[in-house]
Amino acid sequence: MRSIIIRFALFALPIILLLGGLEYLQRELPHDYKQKRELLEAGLGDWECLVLGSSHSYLAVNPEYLDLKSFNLAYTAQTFTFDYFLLEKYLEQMPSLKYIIYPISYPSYGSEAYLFDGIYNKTYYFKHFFGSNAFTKWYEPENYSLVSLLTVKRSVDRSMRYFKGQDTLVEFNKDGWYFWDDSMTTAQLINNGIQSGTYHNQFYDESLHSHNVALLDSIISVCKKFDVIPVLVSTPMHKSYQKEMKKSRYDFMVNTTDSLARVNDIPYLNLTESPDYERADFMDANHLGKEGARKFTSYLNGVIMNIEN
Amino acid sequence: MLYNTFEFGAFYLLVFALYWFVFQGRLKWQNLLILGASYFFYGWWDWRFLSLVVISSLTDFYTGIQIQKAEDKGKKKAWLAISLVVNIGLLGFFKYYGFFVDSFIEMFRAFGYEMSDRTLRIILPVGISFYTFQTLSYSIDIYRGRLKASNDLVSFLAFVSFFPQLIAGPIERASNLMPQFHKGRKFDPQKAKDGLRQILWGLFKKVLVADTLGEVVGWIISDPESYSGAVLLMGVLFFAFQLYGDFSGYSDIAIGTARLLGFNLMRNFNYPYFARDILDFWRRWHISLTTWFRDYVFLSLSGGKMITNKWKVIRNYIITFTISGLWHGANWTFVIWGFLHGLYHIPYLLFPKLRSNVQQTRPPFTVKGTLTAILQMGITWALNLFALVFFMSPNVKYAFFYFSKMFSSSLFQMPERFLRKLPWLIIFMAMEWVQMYNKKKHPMQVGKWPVWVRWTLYYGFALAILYFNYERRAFIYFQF
Repeated sequence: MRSIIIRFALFALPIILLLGGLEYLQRELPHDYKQKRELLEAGLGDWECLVLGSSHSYLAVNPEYLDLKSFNLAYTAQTFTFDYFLLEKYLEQMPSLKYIIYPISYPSYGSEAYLFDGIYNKTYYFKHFFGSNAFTKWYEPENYSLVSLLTVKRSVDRSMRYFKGQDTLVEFNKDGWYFWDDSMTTAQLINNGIQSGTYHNQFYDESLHSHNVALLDSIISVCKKFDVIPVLVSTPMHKSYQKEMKKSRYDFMVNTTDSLARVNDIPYLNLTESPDYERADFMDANHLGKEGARKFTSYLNGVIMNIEN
Repeated sequence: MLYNTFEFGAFYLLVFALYWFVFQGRLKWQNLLILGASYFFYGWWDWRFLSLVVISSLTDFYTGIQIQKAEDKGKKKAWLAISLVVNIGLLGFFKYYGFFVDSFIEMFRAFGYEMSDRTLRIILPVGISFYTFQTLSYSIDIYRGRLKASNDLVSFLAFVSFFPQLIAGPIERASNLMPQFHKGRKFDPQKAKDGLRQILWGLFKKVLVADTLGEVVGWIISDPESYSGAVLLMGVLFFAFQLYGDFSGYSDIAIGTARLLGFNLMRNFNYPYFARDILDFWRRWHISLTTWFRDYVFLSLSGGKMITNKWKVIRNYIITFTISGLWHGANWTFVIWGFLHGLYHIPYLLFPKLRSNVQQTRPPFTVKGTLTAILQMGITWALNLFALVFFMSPNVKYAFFYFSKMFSSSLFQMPERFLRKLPWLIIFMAMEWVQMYNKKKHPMQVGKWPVWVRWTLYYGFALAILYFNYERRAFIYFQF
């Protein structure tokens, strides 16, 4: 038995070393979450305005058009849970922070990203890059290894792309904003509206309403504790997406947010159905593109400056 | 816990270490370890359903003893009936309840009666079709006097829940596996090496053949309207390989992991895609299930006697294959798939001469022999693919739609996509072909090859498995 174990170990050793090297490389290479954390932490003492939330604000708010020193910390599928964790962790360390821009969109109250980890693996990324221990189980290898999380194929592929100079591996700019410089045709937008609306409806879970309302309430409370004003916003959606929204769910979003805003005396700007945004402003039916982000952020800046003055 | 995950690797290493380094020479402890590990393995998926494994095992342990004890045939029958009711009851409730109720409602609807369609939605416990069949065979064999009842509860529970084959077989016979739990086990390096090679081959088939093709099959099945008939034909072809890679890959890993613990499981696949006719195919495909149905359904239908009436034999074949179709899943598509395979047997049963030249072609190859072999394999493939359309379809309506799209003029055009997968399949088949003619039980039996070739092969396979293991799809047969 000893000889077979030694042979097996000899066989496995180069593979283990290779995987170890790949793991080291993944930790060293740029990564969206790693970069967000580094950029955020580099300016912790200076940030006056922080953008949180999911892809809707990730694409819609370009900090360049905000007069206050701002950073976009939003990211794809970043639901209330993750934002609350980030605020709890960093608010204390941001003495200059005055505002957070917080998006509430149609799927917000009916979704929770950690329930769909097969899709986004968010909990593990938060564990790796922000040190969150919430929601992962200790025995899951994804907790400890980026290669296990990314898989070997994706780890090798992204390393190759990086070293060939084809990819920076980071999709946003120095302000944390992800921009999209292209727009869809009307036909594509209509099709996309149906697809994304159907997708959001499919994953919408009304039983999460109370869980998410409580989380938003906690986000508002923790902000108030540090004298930070949360500006709640609903970003514009294309008509094709609006058509797919179920009225009861949309009404729930508007009424709940509106009532939370009134109770806490904070602003809520609902631009979901705003007629000012046209085809060229959208990246797809539920996300703004570069031009839309300029318009939207400029408007937002006006609102914030009004509060400031 | 999937075989191709880190979790299983860690679990298995721990079991292996305890088994050989701590408990070697202590048979009871080794069996107890297997039992504990098996229950942990099953409970990892859903611990609540572990109770079903325990109920099924305890029922047959007890009824087995009672069948043996009973002196008159009536009592023996009654105890066997209890085993059948419990096992088939569990299977029927968890697997077929919804199917029968839905079918009933549909039938009434066809006659104009509206019935409420609120049926219980029941989760299918993984592996239930496998372990209930395994325990059933135990009781039936005792009833038939072919096996003695076990008095060793731990060994029996370990036999039913033996983790390498608990979820998707091979469906072991008590006469093969039970005695192995009673005999002392010594580590056999040759067996272990072969086990490791078989695991490597199984992982290769699962990850590189089944999962990579599964991605393409998923695209085609989810949107058949967007593809030409030629691509749809490729979709069924790929599904055939996906199914084979997935299921036989699982069996290889199961057999390999069991071998490392000193157990010999039965062979489940014998190069089925080189079968010359449909009878030959069923002797090579899912052998443990086919022989189970032969011994416990087909032979029961004939009362255990040799039947000379051809039509009765045909009837029994069709019934057996239709039930085997239903075993695969609670859906009419599986029933039709099984029924078709039953029908495919008819020509060979009516005209046995058709099988006279079904034999393996061995070198020196003649032109006539080779062409005949290719033609026979081609026909077997065509029949198999036709039935597989039902097997892979979510419902019968979809299957007919798939056929209508596939058998259109676009069937004869060049497939617009996925052609690049074909050379890989040809290489895979060539590897199988060569090792089949070398009479190897699996293509990775390369013990006599030069060391540098073997190690290159092992590294090539291991790295390819690691690289392509990104889909991590559950094994298809888990759902059966």
